[in-house]
Amino acid sequence: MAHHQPRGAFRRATFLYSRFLDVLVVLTVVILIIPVTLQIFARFTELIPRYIWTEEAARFLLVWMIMIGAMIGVREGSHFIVDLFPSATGKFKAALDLVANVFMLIFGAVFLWYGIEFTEFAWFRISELAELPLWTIHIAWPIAGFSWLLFTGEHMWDSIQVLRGRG
Amino acid sequence: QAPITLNGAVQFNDDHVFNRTLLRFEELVKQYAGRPVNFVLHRNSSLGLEKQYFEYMSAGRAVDYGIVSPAHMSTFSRAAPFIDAPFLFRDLAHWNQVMDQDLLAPVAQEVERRARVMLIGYAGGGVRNIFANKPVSNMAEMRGLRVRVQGAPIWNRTFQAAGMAPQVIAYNEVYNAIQNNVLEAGENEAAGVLAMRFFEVAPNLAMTQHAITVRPICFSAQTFARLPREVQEAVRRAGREAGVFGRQTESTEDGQTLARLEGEGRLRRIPFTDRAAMLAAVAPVMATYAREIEAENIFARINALNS
Amino acid sequence: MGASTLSSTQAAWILFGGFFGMLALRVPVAVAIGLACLPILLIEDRLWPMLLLQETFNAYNSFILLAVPFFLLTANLMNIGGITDRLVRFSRALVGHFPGGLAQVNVVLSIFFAGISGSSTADAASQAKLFIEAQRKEGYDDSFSVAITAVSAVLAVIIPPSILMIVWGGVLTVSIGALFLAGVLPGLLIGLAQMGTVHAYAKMRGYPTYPRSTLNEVFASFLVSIPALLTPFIIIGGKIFGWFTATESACIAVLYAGFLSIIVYREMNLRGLWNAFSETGKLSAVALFCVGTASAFGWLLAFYKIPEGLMAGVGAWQLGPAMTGFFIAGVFLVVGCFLDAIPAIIIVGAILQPIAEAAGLHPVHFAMIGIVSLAFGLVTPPYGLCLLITCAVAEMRVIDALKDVTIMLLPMLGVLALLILWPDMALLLPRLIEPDFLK
Ligand code: NA
Ligand code: NA
Repeated sequence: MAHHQPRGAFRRATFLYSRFLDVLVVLTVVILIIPVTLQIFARFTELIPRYIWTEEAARFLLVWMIMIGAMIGVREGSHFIVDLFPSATGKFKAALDLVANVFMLIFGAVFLWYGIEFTEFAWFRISELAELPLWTIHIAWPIAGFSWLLFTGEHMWDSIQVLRGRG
Repeated sequence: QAPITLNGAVQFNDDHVFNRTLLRFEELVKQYAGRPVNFVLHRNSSLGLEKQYFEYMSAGRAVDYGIVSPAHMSTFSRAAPFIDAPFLFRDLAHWNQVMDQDLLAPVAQEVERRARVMLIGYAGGGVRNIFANKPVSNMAEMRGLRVRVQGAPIWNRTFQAAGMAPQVIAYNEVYNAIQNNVLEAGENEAAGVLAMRFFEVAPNLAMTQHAITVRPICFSAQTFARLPREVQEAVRRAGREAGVFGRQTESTEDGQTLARLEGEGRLRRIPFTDRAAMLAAVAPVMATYAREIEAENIFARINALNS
Repeated sequence: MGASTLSSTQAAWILFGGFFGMLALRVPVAVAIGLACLPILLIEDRLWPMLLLQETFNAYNSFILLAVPFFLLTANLMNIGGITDRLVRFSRALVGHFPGGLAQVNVVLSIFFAGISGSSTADAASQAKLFIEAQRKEGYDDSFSVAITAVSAVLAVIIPPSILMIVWGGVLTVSIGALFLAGVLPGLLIGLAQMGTVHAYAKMRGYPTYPRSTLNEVFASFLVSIPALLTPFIIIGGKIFGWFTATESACIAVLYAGFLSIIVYREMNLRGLWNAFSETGKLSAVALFCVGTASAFGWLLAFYKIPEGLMAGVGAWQLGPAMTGFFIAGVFLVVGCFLDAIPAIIIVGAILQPIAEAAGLHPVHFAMIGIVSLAFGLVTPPYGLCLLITCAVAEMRVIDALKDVTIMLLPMLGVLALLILWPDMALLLPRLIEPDFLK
């Protein structure tokens, strides 16, 4: 479902945004290795200080990795589905996609709307070990909600075009 | 009058003292309220761990009461873990005096203000010692000991000051980490050693008595505000009294549990000979910490007791 | 405050009805599970939708789950760094001449891979790409290829290391070392059962066979595979000598696979490396995202005490050890169809533990029955991650692979039955190698 030829400003914007997310998800995986490696090797050598924050840093990176990857998953349509219908094509498939995407839209809206409350809930709080502001983690939820709405909207627009015979 | 139902949560199974303390709390509320109050207590971590249900109490949803270690309140209030800091109390008598004089009230007020969770009573009273896979009886043998500590900076800093090599590892990985020698030791009160069966992998209990637990009985301030006045009063009174019950039970059973385990040959209590030196080594760290979290006054008053 | 607005029964209907209804409308599994919770979170006085976010956060904020991206990264590094190629050559030299040679290689590679990785998701993802297209070209039926790739992937969590054993050991305080050793025999027997199934299929459908390798070829392919085959010993050895915790061992696997690819086999390039990281991030995120919403779903089941309600009275049945074993396996097999294995262990494992104890099952035996049953749940619809992943790679509908998956599960269920009746299948190795672990 990738859009290799972005048309129009909106298409270009979502395309660039998704490339940005691609880079971020790679970075989170790369960086994820560092704190855990530090944690293991600090046990054997005095050369590496025993940082208290390694465990927490690894967990927070994992949270961000999952949330970013899940956003990309919406754009690429890679979230798993259990397909019960006969292999659908054309307008019928577009109609089915449209229905499924309504639920994706609701899900994105829930993440965005309650994600704002979720971020506020963490506003004055700090993490236990590194004493980082907790909202820097919780904000992944409203951002994910917004991205779901964006990418799902794009898919629904495509389905509508197909239904109107312009696909 | 619509019936009131309150939901509680506890991390442990039915025998654990926290569970019994909360059941006592429920009984007392029913007795004092003068109207029917229903309780649903979710056990065995089925609604998550202490940290998580503290958040639910804070949000005023899902969980109304529970017992939570102060360490898990630290994301709301940096001062909260101070209640339960290591090397704070000299002995059980000192700890009892602090409780009787309610010296921890300022911290409780800060927690209530920032997290909207009331600390209505104080259970606890478990004396924490170090269980290790080898005998440890003095500062020299303690040097470089890979010991698991709770995930709060003060624990890490004081244990480091005492010469150990503290490690932060999830509580439910500790048993296996000691078995595999990733860790050499952990630290806990008798109830924890028993519940997690730590004695199986680390049968040497160094009697460092480095901490005495304080486990507040927590109640969601938002739920509390919605309760009728007579139930509010019942909750406050029952919380206080259940706390006393929990403290008496745990501090009595603490020694009994250890004696029983030793009698069955499952662990060995090893006297710790350098306690004064250990306390001296961590004293500067404690003072700095109290200053950092603006708890110098409480710290000074606790230290001044009984001296 | 106030009693629950909904009864347990009503809540159960909404949760399961919503989940299945949305699945039928082709809503992604993760979203269907999460949205099934929404009506309850809105209706129930004491709950509110932010809980869905909080519970997903709690699930992801876990050091243990880190093992999933690490094991997947290990698999991807092995693929681009030439490790997998060498293991394939060695497997082919060993079993390529059996009927259905390539499918036999598929199973044997999963056995080797299982010794390195603790995540079936990782195995399914990497081998689906490797085998499905190749088997298609050699004339295997698509549904057979998808099914054998999916069912062989479950070995990764039965043969150590295993993320399920790490979770089980942590949640129910059982020695992870003992579980690792206990998984070896059941895992190998299930692998053998799968090879037997492939044999029967190949005979009936006339699947192709490779010429038998000479002893020299076997030996040569073994030699180049040695560094890769050492991985399980490093992981298990590291645990026995106490170099790292179970979760950390996944990171060691990454470092070792990176070391082999870059220093020993030298087949890694930058482009490949970038893709390995990118695919790891995307796929583990999509798989773990399901774990988060499944945890929220499980939290609501616990809140309404639905599993306890279903399990009430079982203690009074006075089942013997064997019948209790079958009951436990049955419960986990059913639960595995709907819930991710990790929340299933946390919620259902804790409820079944007293029942197992009362019946006199050894904790390690109980754990292995649970883990093997939940591993089978990875290929049972609607929520079977390995089946979903292989079908996604093959661009095939889950329904079309179901018949072959069911057939292949039958001999595997036979091994599970044997495991229940013969506890030593799990307990023998730990007793011989590390008797201390069984205390
Ligand atoms: Na395979
Ligand atoms: Na494995």
